[in-house]
Amino acid sequence: MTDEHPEIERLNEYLDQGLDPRDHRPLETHLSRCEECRRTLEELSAIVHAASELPEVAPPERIWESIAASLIERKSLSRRSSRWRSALLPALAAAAALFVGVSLWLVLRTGEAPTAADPEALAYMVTEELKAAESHYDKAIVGLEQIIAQNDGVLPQELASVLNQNLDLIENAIGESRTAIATEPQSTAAQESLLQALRSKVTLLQNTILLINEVRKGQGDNALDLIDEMRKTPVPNAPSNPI
Amino acid sequence: MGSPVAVIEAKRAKGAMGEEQLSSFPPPSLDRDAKRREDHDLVERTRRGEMEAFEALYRRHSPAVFGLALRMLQNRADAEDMLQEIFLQAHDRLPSFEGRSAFGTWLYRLSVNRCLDHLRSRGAKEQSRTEPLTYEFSGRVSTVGLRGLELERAIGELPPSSRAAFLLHHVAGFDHKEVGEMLGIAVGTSKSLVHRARTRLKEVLAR
Amino acid sequence: MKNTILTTTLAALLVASSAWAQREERFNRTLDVGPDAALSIGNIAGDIHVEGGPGSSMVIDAVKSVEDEGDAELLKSVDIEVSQLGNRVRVSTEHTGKGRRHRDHDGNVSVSYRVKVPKGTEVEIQSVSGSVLLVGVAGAANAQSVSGDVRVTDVSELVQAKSVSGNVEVLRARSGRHADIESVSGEVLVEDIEANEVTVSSVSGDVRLQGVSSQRASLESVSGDLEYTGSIAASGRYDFQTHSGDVVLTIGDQVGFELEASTFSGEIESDFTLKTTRAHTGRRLSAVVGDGSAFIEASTFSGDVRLLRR
Repeated sequence: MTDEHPEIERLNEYLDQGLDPRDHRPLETHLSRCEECRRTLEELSAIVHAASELPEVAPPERIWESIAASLIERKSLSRRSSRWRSALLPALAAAAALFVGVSLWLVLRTGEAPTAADPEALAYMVTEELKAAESHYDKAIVGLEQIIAQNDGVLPQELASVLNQNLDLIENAIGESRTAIATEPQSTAAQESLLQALRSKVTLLQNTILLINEVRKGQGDNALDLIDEMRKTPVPNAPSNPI
Repeated sequence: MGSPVAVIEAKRAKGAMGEEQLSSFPPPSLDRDAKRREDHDLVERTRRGEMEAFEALYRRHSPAVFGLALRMLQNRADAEDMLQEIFLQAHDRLPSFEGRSAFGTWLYRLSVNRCLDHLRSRGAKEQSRTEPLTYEFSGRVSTVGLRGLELERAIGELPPSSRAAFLLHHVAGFDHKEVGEMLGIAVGTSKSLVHRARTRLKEVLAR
Repeated sequence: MKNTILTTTLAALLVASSAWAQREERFNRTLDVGPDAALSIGNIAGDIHVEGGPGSSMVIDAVKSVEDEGDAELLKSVDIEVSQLGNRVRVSTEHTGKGRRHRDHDGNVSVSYRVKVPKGTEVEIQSVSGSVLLVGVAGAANAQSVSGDVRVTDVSELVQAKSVSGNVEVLRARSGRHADIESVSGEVLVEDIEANEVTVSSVSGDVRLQGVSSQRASLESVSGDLEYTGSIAASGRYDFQTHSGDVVLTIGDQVGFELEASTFSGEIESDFTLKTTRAHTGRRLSAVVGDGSAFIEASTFSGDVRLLRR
């Protein structure tokens, strides 16, 4: 009996230290002689060990946002105060149903929605973070445009023309995005477009300055290295992503 | 012409999921008892209406719950929905949570049962293995290496009950008594389910 | 621009030799550089062709030319300067303004370069209004023009291929690093590229990628369309961003991917049966195909997102 291979259940028990101590000795003797059973035991042990090391998994942030949105909706629905029974309520419900993003955090922080009875109030809050990102970009753009304005006429006409046309294109994109945000403040597609367009504008302005620099160098103009000036212009590196 | 000038571009930095935590909470204590007390405190504050406290609970426990949901449901989409449902339900039921057990245990119990309900309502057969979750775990298997990946896959082959028992006991670390209470089964049954799971896993891994 | 040069050269050849001699000036230099050379060449008007080949010497052929006979003395105003330090060669085209009779007469002096380099040479080309062609080099490849077209083919280490108003074409390129391929108003076409990471962009031109093998690819445009045809790598990241253009992705289903597609006013279409992970709210779609190992993000504002199966 002792030399017969034990049932795997016995090995499992043994692994859990749940086997009757009197049975240990015979089992261990068998194991010392039987490679197959030893391997089985090792495998079971490895599984247990590996399982204990399986990691937790951080969920995507949007899940919390959805949860928070639902909770706000419930909260607002349960309130008796009349000021909540305003146009703001459907807006909040709408926000709860969609991805809202960072804006929600503001609502959570303040604890309650503003008392203004119009949906625009929510729209305002929703774009707080976006406005912060926007203002960073706007500052950078102003700085870069200044450098370019100071070097008016340096670039050949044709080139300046191409660059201006493309800048206009980007301006249109910025305008369209802003309009879209005004009509649908919760739309992440609109917010993303705006940030992307602003990024494109900054990139194009930077490239323009590089070209101006090259032309000036070509003209033997070593007076001002525009690259240094450009570097001093703070440009947002990792814009906050509403998602 | 001058030497080339590197174009300085505003590059968009995006993390793997493209998100970052909105705020930071103090990390949970390493000491188990202290952690429980902190949870208890957060539950109290949540009951008083503090949303921040509930978010803190979410931050502390969602990785574990999400891991459980992923491994139980073997489907990322379902796991995400499930995570949301679990926490919403947890929020709903908090008033009735008496604090006899630890919050984490209570939450796990809720989670595993919801997952089992989900699996059973669909029918184990319909729960097809079209979406193995290896990608999800591939970035995180550190000490375990390939073995961990294989194990993740193999867990998907376990039938629901043994899968649940195995995950609760060996991954989450509950003893058989706790597992029994959570699943509504006897201690011996829990042990038997876990052993069966291990045996099955061994077979699957040996293929 | 290049067509003008070509025509000028051909026309010049047909004309009587004396007139021909006045409108053109040839330049030739051969340098012994060894297999691991580096070339930096800059020009203002005129094309630059650099080709890698066997051997260890660099052969520089240049033709200075003017359009009108009357501008012949302007040829003196442009100097081709070649400097060499070890195996590093620098060629620059200096417009010195010498011999200009009329200050306000902006005569067109252009220089056309044909350079042969050892295959392993590192090449950097900068042109203002000429087109650029770079072929067959294994060293770091960097080609830029302002208004000319840029074409880079059969290179092993692509770093950059850029133009402002010209088109950019990259074929059969490899890169162990981040390859940057851009234009502002031109079209960008990339075919058969294997890179660690590739960024392709244009502001108003279309961007097309075919036969791409890269862990990470980023396509951007403001008004142009973005087209990607190729394979995706498991755990790769691909993002597509345009404002008014469409995003058209034609990929196989061998590798699973997670998709985040959004458009503000356009449509989202797919050949794939998408298991949506989030309800199709408005025009936003999150979905998983297969095991979801790769990540694709496709965003447009007013364009469409189309996911086609290969």
